[in-house]
Amino acid sequence: MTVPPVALRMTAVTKRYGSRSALRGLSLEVPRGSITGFIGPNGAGKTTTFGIVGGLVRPDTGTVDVLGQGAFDPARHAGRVALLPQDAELPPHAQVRDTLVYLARLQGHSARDASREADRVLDLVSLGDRPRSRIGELSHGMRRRVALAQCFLGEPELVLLDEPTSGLDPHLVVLVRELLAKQRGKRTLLVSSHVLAELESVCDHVIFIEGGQVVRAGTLDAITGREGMVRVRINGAVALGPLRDALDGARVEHDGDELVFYARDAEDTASLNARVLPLLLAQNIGIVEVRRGLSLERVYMESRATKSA
Amino acid sequence: MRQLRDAWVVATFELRDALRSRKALVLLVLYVAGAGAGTGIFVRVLSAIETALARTLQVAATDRPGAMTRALLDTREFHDIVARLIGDDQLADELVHIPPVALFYGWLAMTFVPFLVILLASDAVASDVATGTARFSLFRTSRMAWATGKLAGQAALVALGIAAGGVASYVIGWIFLSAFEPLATLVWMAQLGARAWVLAFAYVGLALGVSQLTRSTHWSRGLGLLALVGSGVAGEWLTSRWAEAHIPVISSSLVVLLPRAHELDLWRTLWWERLPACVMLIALGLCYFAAGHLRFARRDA
Repeated sequence: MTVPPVALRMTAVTKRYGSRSALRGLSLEVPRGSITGFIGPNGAGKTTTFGIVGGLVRPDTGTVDVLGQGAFDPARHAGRVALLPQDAELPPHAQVRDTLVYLARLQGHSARDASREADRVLDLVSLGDRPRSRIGELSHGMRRRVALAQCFLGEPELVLLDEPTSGLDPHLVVLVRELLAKQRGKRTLLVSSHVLAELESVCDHVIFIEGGQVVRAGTLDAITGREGMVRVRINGAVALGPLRDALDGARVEHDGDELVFYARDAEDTASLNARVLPLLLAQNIGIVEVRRGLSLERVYMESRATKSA
Repeated sequence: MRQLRDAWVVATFELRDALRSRKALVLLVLYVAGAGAGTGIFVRVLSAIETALARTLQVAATDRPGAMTRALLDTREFHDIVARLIGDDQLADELVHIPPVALFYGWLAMTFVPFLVILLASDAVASDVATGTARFSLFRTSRMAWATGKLAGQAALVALGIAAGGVASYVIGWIFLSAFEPLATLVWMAQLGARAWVLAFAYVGLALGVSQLTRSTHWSRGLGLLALVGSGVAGEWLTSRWAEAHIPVISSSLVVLLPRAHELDLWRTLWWERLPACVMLIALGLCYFAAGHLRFARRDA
């Protein structure tokens, strides 16, 4: 059996809550094995999208194909799709480990396997020392980590994470980011977050959503221009003419305190960088920072500004 | 099979979770306190009747009620109490031979357990949907298996409550009644407790049914109480003289859809006379639950 290259495909999906449209013909694709950032303002439709993919919310129209097997159905997808819902509480009176064993059993594990899985995922989120704590007695950050842990019970192929680092301490944000990075190649992750720097560090694909529609989507490299752009923040002014001549046809522009170098056709960023840096150093230009392409935050803000205009 | 397995997993977790929560503690305290206090009052009434009986027979009254049990059971006063408790004069003749504490406990359970069930179970689904707890389960199993597990868990919790109330009644009866029959009382209490559970199951189904209609815990509790009161009022109206005279077919057809219409038959002493009522009450509980599930299966969680 061939594995479809797309883990999730949504086509022209609409959803209304009363008079308010949450999704207006949303269409998107999430490549299998990718870590895809799902970015948009509050009320853009991210949580509704997650709910629809996980079978919690019923779409009004449109089609959803999860792991190549049609719309979510527990009979087909239980244990293969996992979800970290936003603002959802785990049962406060239950113990941490009991809850994870229960959820693992619910997705088909035997009692023994479920216990083993619960211990494994507790270690994954550094809560191996709190198995018998009641969930209601844990701090917000710990509860969030338990919620995150339940996503990795078993071997889910598609994991949907709605604001996984919301309300976490900085060191826990790092822990979560490392956890997500470790999943690369093992499963497909769709992650929503308002912290774009965080997404930029782990994602390889991004989807911008606004007003219930996808406004932009692609690889992180393509969207941020990492594939053919080097940006150098410099100290002081510099004339572009001599640089253009020396770079033999490469395009150079000023952008604030940055110089932006564009690669020639088929030239990769490393080659461009290898040509640019010696030239700048030779001309005694003060280099403050070198980066590939734009930051995700800047691309997103520009995307929003363009839409508003 | 997978659905049944998942329902079992949910039911056991529901029961454990309920037992860990304050809500279950409140439930058990209510059952125990209600049964204990009720039995205590009943023992006092019994004592008063015995004192009156002793005066009539011109024998010495006893400090501990129950000493004149046999004589008491044959009195018109006791017969009238039983008839009033269960609401049927003829059936009372058959029941006066049941140990009085067991008889009273059976009445107490059948009268008050439905109210407690509605009070405590009608937000079982709604609260999990409102807090988002359900969202951790519903992508792992079907809504039917999950909701069925909640139903089974609540039904098991009610069984525990009835048993706890039974223990309270039994202990109070044992302490305060001198002619207490331990074995006969235990056997009858177990039987009547099981019948009370069958009646309660119809209300558990009703509670879980309304709980699936809304994601608001306040609404689901309100709807539960409305359903309880509404079924009581509807039962009274459908069995009224006016209804029997003017709409006899409609009233007799509709009244069987209400749990209270089958309560009297639970008191029958012969099992084959009780069986239709038991089947009907279980079926009603499942139907109420299924009606609510029709909505839950189609709405957002």
